[in-house]
Amino acid sequence: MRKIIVFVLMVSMLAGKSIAQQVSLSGKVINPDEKPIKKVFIYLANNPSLSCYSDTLGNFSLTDIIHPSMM
Amino acid sequence: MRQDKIIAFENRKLSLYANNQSISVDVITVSGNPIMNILNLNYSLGTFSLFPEAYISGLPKAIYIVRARVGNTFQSFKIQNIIPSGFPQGITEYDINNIIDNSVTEPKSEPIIETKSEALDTLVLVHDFYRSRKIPISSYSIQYDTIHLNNFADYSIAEGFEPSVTYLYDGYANFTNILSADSIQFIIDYDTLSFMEGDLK
Repeated sequence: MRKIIVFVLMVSMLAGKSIAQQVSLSGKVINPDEKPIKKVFIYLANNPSLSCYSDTLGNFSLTDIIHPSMM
Repeated sequence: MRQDKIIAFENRKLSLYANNQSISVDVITVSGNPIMNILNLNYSLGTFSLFPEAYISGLPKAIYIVRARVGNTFQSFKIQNIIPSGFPQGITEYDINNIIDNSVTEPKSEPIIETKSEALDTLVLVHDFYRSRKIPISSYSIQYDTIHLNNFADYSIAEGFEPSVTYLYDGYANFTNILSADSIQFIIDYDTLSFMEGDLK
């Protein structure tokens, strides 16, 4: 019985890892004059803990792994 | 027919070119007080034309400002009721085939419009000095070329003025009060009519 429970737990953990999403969003933020905007706060609405700021050239890179528990 | 201007005001006729965008037209006083909303439509498509002066004939004789918005694009124009116009109210022209090609204002790398059902998540961009933007994303792996953030209104930020964190207060008669995060206060005076002629930069 104990082995079955351990097996079920392992399968659940592996399934969870396989659903995890790799996030890789990047780009450059510019204003209407085509100039870069720094310190733009960028985040995902469904995963607000995943966020970043654009740098002095307006570039941003939002890179992380979202686990099912975060979604 | 392709238009170059999203909002045009010629021969006292206001024309709005929308491509699945919300549009609104308001009349305000020169000191910025709202008077009335003339038009308010969601997800509009095509060209809408109307005469704003037709709505102010019953108001005290003065110069007013008509403030038009198509999506995130704002523009203001002077109108007056000193000389009676006799224009009809309502949308005087509508052409669904006359729309702007989105490539004029939006880079190709940016998603145009996606429905919520297709969106996996939403990328939110926030800055104190620009309009926030929400971009629905259908994938968590996207390399954008550029993403535009628009100004709050009809002004652009002065050359060399790069406030990183600021709080903008407006609604005053002839000045804008800006308070930065480190308690530095700026007061920008301007002619209330000049911004309509593109003088305020």
